[in-house]
Amino acid sequence: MSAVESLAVVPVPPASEHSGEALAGLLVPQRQAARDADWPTLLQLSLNLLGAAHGHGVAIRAVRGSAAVQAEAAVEMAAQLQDGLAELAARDDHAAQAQGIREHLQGIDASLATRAGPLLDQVAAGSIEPGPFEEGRASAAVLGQAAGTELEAGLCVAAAARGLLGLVHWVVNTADPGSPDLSRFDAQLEAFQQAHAETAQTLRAGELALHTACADGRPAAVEAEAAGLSGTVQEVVVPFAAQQTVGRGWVAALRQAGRGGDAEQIGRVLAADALLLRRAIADAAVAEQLRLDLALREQPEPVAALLQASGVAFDAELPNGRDTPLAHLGAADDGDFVQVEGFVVEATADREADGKLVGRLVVQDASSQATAELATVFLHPPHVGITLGCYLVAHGIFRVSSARLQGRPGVEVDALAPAALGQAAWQARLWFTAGRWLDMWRSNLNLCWSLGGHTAGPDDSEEPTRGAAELIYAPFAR
Amino acid sequence: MAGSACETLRDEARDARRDAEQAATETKESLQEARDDTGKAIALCATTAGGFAAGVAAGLATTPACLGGVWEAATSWCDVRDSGKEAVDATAAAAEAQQAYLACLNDHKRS
Repeated sequence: MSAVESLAVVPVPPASEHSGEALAGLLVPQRQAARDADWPTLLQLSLNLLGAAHGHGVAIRAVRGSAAVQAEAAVEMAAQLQDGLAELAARDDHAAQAQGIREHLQGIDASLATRAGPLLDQVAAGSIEPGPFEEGRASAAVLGQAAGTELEAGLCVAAAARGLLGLVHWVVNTADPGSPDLSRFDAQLEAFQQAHAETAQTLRAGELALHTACADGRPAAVEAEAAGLSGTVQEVVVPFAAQQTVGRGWVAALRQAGRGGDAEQIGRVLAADALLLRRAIADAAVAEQLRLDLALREQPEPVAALLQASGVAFDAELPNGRDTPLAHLGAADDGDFVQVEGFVVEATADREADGKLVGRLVVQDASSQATAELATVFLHPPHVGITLGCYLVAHGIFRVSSARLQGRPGVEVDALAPAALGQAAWQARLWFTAGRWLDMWRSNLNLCWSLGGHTAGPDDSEEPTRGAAELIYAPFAR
Repeated sequence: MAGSACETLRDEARDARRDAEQAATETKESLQEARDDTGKAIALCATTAGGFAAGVAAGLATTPACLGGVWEAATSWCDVRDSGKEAVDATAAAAEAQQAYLACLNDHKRS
């Protein structure tokens, strides 16, 4: 059986012209629920978003898949046709052949002969120009991208990411933090560290399986591993977020008991946990995007870059500053790349003379009471969910006199370089690909912070008491 | 759910998308027909001469029915190519309108 005969005729399922509107109809009120701190509504809408993302994803994949099959078949046909005509034109008797065909077509159907005229002229001239066929291929390629599904696909991934993020903040604001037994501190710290390590390992295993499938160039395996990773994230997110709520209770109790050093140890784990949660949601978003875009005839950047995984190292290594206690920061550290951390006691934002947004954070060491100022370029701390009392870890350059802080000493938080990191390791490529829906590192700044509670507030609130601010201020999709 | 500007953009995006879908559907249907016609013609030639190019050549001399089918298919492909341009234009317009609608949705002050 020839390739042509084996081509299956794939019916095109009807595309719902309301899909995008239906998804937007859930995303907008979810944002309102976060703004109002309406937790039952946020939970309901977040679950609805996850369900809608799944359902619309199935429909979008079906539409895209059938369009891609049709377009691929058309392109294959064009290539065969062009090859055949070119071979015909190369015959010694091409002029006579063309004339014979012309006369024959005239006898069959005069209009057909007229329409075939330009192609016959080419055969008669002994050549076939590829131009018209290239134009045909270009048209088929566009059709194979399933016109009209971009908005739905973008909102579909947004629905999945926002559904997960909504669940996280619902848990953080409603889960019971429990009653910490401070005499069990060592065991509890170990439990928190163990939970972090296990979750990180689970995510890494899913990411690695996806990387392997991409490197092997097997679309079916990529689709399966992407679906697996997305499912894993949905299983992990809620219990892991609940664990962090328990941790927050421990931090509060330890600080109240005057055990600042112990509170910092748990705070450090919680900040890393929160970044891990962001990584989980980023993984799920990219997995959903991959599943949708694999159904297209040609994958857009940066999905194409993710699929080109062969020979690309897996594990990402991020810039890591020298761990420096706040009490030790001084003139000797001027210009050094340092890691600083502590509990947030101030979080504001301002604009420089040229209009540049610069966030300002003050963190405090709970054991020494030492503080340090941090500058975050293009990041508004209260609008990304950094709250008073959360534990924050940042990497950046210490300046004795920082221009970002009106000449005061402080740390200018470092911006990660997505292109370079993604070039070096596939894992970073994966994480930064999620930036259209969720930035693991907001404004690419190398910092993380533990999850905090959320209070209701008006638009453009500047209060650093809104842990779920990202649901309000971050765009659904970029 | 949103202000009047957003609703206007939504309606424009919906109309543009509908136009793009219609143009794309019509072109896809033409593609399907051209594909079927070309497939039949090529398959017929393939059975007589073991390949399209050879089949065309063989068909010129010996199989008039094959000849007509091949050229019908070839011209159908050209027609599809031309109609596809309309779909491409409509798709570009829809993408622009949809981006404007998405930008409007993303503006929290409007909701």
